[in-house]
Amino acid sequence: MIGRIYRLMDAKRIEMVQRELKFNENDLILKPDYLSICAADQRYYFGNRPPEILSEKLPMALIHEATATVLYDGKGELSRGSKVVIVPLIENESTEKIKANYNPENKFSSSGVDGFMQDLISVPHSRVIPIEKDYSVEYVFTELVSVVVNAIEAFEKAKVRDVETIGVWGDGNMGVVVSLVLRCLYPNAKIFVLGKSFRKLQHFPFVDGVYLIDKLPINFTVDHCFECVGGKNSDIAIQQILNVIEPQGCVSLLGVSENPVAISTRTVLDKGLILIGNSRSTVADMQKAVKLISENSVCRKYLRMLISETITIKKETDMMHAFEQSILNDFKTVMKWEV
Amino acid sequence: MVYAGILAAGMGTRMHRQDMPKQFLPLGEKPIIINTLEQFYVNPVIDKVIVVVPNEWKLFTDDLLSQYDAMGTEVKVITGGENKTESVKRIVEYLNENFEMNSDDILITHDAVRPFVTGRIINENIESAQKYGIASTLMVTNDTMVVSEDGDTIQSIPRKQTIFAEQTPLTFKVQELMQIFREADEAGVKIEKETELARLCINLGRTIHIVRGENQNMKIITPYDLEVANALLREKKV
Repeated sequence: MIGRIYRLMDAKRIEMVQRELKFNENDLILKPDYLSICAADQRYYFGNRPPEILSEKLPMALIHEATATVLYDGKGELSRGSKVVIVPLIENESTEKIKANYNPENKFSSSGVDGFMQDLISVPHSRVIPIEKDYSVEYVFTELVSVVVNAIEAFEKAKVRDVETIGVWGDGNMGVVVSLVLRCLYPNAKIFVLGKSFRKLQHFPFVDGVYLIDKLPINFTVDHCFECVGGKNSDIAIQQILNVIEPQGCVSLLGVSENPVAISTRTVLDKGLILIGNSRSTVADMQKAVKLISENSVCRKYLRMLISETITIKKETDMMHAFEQSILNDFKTVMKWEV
Repeated sequence: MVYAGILAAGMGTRMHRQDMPKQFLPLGEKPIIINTLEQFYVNPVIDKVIVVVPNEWKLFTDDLLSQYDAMGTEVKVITGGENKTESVKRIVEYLNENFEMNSDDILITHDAVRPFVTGRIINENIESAQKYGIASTLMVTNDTMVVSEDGDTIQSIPRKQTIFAEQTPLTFKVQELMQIFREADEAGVKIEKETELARLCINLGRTIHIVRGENQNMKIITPYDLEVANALLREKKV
């Protein structure tokens, strides 16, 4: 059937392409409901990736955080009108040795293959997670929560010290979700958030304390740290983490930096620290994220507060407006998809 | 209930093909009409689809539709009329004879040869008809439109801001449309000569609300249109 896809052709230029949507009897046809703009999408949209990466990956439809309505299920398992979260990970290879999100054979929507900016999407059953029919918009952050689920599972496997105090560096979207999921999973731990913006730090009433990075109390220490800063400030954040973390603590890295970051390996060695890299998530992580959101009203409440702006999208200019606005907003910009 | 009436009763004389009306010609990997129908099949607000075709193409259409998955949507093929207005009247008569009509029932009519209709256009038509009674899909025109009564000289040039091109869907509350046809009968209007249903509605004092169309919602009438449509479906990158 005919479908439309909205691809980023070049920085700040989105064009619609009509094409035949291929699907077979095992596939679902979905209509996206809500799409959430992530920092990776912003980097592509504004051309803030190396030129060789942009020329390799574009044209490409952006967005990998989405909820959708089932329009058709060839297998007849999901009724028309059912609601789902779409899984961005495309598993081409399954192996016990590597977790699927780190397997280079697998693909990821809006990073090398088209993302969810389409009027109709065809996916196999394995790439959707059903949610309740009258779901609330915060399920659009399932993928973001699942990235944190993936990171916390890796942290659980690697940690040596007990989890009494945790520091989260970063007062942006990832900082909110990491500290929120930590709050849900470690109710007895003391969680502190460290950021640059006093205004943004007001979004963390569920943690035990928030600090501006240049006003840390003397003798402030934590057992473990989650770095959610990324970008050009990664090195400053990681340096501060290495200074305040207790010996044999875990440093979970979640912030993306385009450039190499200098790390004081002397401190890492002296303290016997564990550094864990984290990226993306699997279907199982997303299922756990859906469970967490559906079973935890506090989590839902604060995820909802992550939405800075919801913009209704009917045409290409609305999409470009949403991306331009997303840079101005403190937290998430969500597109209500009505193309 | 929301009924979709797909208008496929034309013979496609401008396509210069005598063997097959244009709506059955291939676009990409499927006939044009199937591409159009699929946009209605997958729309969760559409309850039933009625397709009007020339009488001599009814069996062919039934067979063709059975070759493709209707995605759970109920489809009925009926014989159309002399023109689009008469075909819509046939759909209304079919609905009236076969279903119990309610005041909030909607009929969304659409040209079979406009396969690029979007979900937004369909949904906004239905919402607008539910709210106002009648909705039509219009596009601003890039060309300047002129009036020439004799085809040799220009008599007037309407202001561009007031001129739009009418696409489809054209959407109605079914009972309102039934009333329009009744009034037309009483006024002695020859339906078989009234090619524009929207004009009939306006002449009978109705207001039609506008839904924004799309350039891509093109009508495939000529061989050139078909070539453009096929070109639109060619992926620049997979």
